Amino acid sequence: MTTLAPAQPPSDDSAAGTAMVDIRRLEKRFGSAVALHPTDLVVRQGEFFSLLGPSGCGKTTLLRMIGGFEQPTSGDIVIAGESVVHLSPAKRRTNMVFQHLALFPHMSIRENIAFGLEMKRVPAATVRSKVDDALAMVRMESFADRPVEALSGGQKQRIAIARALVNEPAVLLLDEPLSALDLQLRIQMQSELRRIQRSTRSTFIFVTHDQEEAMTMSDRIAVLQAGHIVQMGTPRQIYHRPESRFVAEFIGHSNFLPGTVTGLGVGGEVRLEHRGVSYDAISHRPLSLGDEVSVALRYEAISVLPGTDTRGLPATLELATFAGPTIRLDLRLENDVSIKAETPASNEPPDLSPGARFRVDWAPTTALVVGE
Amino acid sequence: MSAVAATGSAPVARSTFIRSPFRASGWQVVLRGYIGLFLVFLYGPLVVLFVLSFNDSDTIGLPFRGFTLRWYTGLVHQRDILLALGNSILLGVAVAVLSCLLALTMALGFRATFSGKPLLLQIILLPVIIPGVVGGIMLLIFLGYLGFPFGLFTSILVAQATYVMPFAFLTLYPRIQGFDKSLEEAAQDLGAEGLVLFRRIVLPIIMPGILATTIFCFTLSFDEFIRSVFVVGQDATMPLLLWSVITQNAEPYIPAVGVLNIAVSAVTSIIGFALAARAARQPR
Repeated sequence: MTTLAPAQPPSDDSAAGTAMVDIRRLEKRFGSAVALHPTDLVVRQGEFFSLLGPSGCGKTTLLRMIGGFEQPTSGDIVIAGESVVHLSPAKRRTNMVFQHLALFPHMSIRENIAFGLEMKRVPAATVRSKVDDALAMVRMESFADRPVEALSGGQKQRIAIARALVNEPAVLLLDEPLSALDLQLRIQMQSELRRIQRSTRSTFIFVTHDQEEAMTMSDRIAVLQAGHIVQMGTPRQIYHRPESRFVAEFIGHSNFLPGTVTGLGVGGEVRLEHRGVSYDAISHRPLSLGDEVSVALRYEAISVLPGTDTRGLPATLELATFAGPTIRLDLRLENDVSIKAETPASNEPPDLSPGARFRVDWAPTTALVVGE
Repeated sequence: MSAVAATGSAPVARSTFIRSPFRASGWQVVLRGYIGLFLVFLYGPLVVLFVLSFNDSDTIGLPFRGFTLRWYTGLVHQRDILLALGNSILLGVAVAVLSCLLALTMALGFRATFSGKPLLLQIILLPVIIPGVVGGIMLLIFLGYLGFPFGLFTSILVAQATYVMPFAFLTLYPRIQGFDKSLEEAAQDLGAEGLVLFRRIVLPIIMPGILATTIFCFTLSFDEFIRSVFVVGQDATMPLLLWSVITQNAEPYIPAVGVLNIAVSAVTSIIGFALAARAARQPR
């Protein structure tokens, strides 16, 4: 049996930074339904960490357990070296930005931001200056004495962030706070959040179902599926090295090509064959000759070449879709497998009529053998 | 802009849906007659009462013999009327505060999930469907057996509070049930717990609803007759006094007392509705 050593897993600089949140075998069941299977997770001091996954994957439950709004079934949560599972939300060094913000409607903006400090019996003069600083941080100085309902969606967002951060939490928890905003405002708030996180050097745990949002904002991402963390790493690692078909599908757009292993090379290179068509891919886990596998190949990793070229595989165009900056081409390989490619609009082939002949090529390192 | 409005669709719509009164069909005549009768029976008695309260005549009834305020000014000397009015207002406040407080604590308790909750809800609302006469008789027998003292702030308070409380619960419960839990979570997150959380966050937000409910309860108590009449002691409320006056000899000041009663109920109701509207406007 020929077995190939897996390619070296990428370093995720585990040594860097001290653990701010240490989650140990944390589990949550609602009756017989499992919201979160026993999970381990370390979020480091000063990190922007995202929990990413579709709705119902357990990301919000995990966040709410860290904040103290759900009691875990088993396991431990350690924040800044202290186990907090038996502490109420009020006693934890976490603050939350809620999905619907939950600003107090009967208080002014200043009163909203001051509430947490008041509860900690901070002297009034200190409260005042801290609230002013918080308002300056979110660039809302001139709004201090307005009522909450006088604010727009984005402004409310800033106040909710200020209200949480003014308490200088060890960890700021954000429960999809941008999901209600329109696209423009959302992009603006994404960079705003990133700026605030960098300038305060605080630890953020951000829950989202939007992979692009997670990519652009996070230092590291944990992808969740059905109550499990299925992959964790930097945005680049997750993007370039999805470990499962789920992650490859959830992050960006991928083709999944079937194949049987017919050859094994060094460094994880494999040669695959499917109904007479052979191509190269890479595997990060051991494979044997004859294994049936699936290969994830991103739309944008495919080069579309003229039919006269000698590289790559011949393919027939079925449909071309103009999408502004890119053109999406639906092609069919000679083994009847359909494959989608995305090519810059500046690189538009002259003939885009159905049936046009092309060749498709990709670097073997971009075609990843993934588990199911 | 104005030219568009003048020649726009509004005049067309009007000519389609509102026909000229001169070409009314038979069906429309019937409808108009119905509306007329409806209004006459609804507001006719009120108008007659109002007119009679200013009638310079020693018997209740028409014809109108001239305008006078003496039935109103004369009330100042009717000790029993003033006493009954005072009793009704004091009792109304006591009943309103008591039933609202009970209903509030109960509605807060009902936010939790516990076994038997639907059944308990039915039991709480039972007094609403018991006919007033039956309710009165039941209380008379029950309190009589207990040797409970009959009086304004004893038996009548019990009779009215048990009747009013379910209504208070029914108006408060949806408001408290609909209270945005994330506001409470946010307050907990910021360090508020227990009574502080209730006093600083929950109470101010539901306060307009509580006030509106209290006022609604007051008008229910102010008006209550059938249960109170079975358990009355020495002191009478306004409806009880009016009943005894009218069954003995119809005093000419009765219309004026009636108008006064309507005024008390109307003013409190208007305040209540205004508060309820404000409560409904509270952003969630």
